[in-house]
Amino acid sequence: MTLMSDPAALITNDWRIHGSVYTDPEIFALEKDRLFHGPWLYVAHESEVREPGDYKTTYAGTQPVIVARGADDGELRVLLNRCRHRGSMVCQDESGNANYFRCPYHGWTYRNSGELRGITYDDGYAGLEREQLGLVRMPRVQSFAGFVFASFAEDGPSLEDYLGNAKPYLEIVSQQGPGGIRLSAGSHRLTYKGNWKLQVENTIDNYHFGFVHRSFLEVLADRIGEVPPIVKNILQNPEWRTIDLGNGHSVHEFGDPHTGNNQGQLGDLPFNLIVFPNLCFVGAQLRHILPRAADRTEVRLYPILHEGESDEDNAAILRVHEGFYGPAGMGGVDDIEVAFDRVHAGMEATEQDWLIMSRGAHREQPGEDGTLIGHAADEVPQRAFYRQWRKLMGGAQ
Amino acid sequence: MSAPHRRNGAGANGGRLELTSEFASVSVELDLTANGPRLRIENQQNRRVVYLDPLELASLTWLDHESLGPFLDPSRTGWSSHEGAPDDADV
Repeated sequence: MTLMSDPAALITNDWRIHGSVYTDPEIFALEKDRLFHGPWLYVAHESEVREPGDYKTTYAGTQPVIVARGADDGELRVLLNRCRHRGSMVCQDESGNANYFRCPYHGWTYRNSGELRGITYDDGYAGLEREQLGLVRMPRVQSFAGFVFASFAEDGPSLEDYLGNAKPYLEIVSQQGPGGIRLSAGSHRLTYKGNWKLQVENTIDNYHFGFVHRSFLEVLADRIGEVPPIVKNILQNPEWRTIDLGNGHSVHEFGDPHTGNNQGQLGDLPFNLIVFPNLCFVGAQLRHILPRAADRTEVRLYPILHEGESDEDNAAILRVHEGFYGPAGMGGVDDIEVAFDRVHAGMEATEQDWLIMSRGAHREQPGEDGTLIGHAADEVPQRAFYRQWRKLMGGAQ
Repeated sequence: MSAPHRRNGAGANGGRLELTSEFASVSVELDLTANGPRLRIENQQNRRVVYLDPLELASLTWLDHESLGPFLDPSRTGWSSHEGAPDDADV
């Protein structure tokens, strides 16, 4: 049996991960089928599509979709963004308001609930079954705490069962402002030549902070007049901890999950959270990771604004976010270079094609509800992710 | 802080309102050239114009969006091989 025919063998019991997990197009094709075609996938926050006719374009895993609120019934639907005629994406804008969509290629027109409404010069077709040619709807759409997820599977676990121990953290995120949250600032996007899982792993990886972000820590020290406490907290503060939440989800708490603070001018979320497979929360942002190929990834970063707070306070959230994560920020660009580009380049050396993901495995402690708790700089979140990855990809758990 | 209009456009040019989405672009203005007021709507892509009087506009408030469907069928509004003149369509 080759490694390729048995994905479980790509992760050893002592937590070595084979390089092909990050580089092989066949693995990516298998991920499209098993990770991104069945399980729940994040697509939107309700604040992005509040009014009838509102829509946004995004991806459900690897497939382009339109998230649209019905013109007359106000219902949220997730439609594949592909004209049934010749395959063009029907909607191109990141967001808008439209009760009907018209394909730019040949003018086929759809209701925003998906039904085909009309065809240009329609005498050119005989016997076309129009009622069968609506935009394809994802069969299940559900929300939790304002976060909208969809699934390609007709049946399966409910969204709440799937989110499991991640639910209380999503509720805390949704309560950041006195009136809730909104993503009305839109997103900024980054792309890199590398595998999508590198960004997931990097979202909760306190181990790298003092190395990749050393220049940021030096600037921060000048700004606050003392050595920033982040690295010391990561290594020594027992209240900073990583938790495997089950189902592939994980969190890093900066102390109390309601009041904790990273004290690093990175944004005020009291924890970093990964919702399997590709939704993350870090700093003051929702991070949606879009796998485009085995070696190509797009990431959309949505700053989380606080409903019910002043424009000035929300502007301050944006400035802090930009300071670290923005295109000219002091942190995000270093992650792109080191954690993505250099890793991708390094893994072209394949004589010993294994990564080591065992940090802290010997000191994971069982918590409540089947959780596993580790030190702040341990690779607990990565193992949480790959336990679920291995399960869905067809191997033993 | 209100949600910003990103690539979609809207604005006022004197008394003339302009609305643009990725699917269409129209201008809307009050017209006082007739014996009574009307709303003038112009399709910016093909310059086609319609005038609507107050009774027509009042009646439009009874519409749901599905009822507008026949006007959204392109073969009935500008893209018919039998009736639509090519230079009248925003192709």
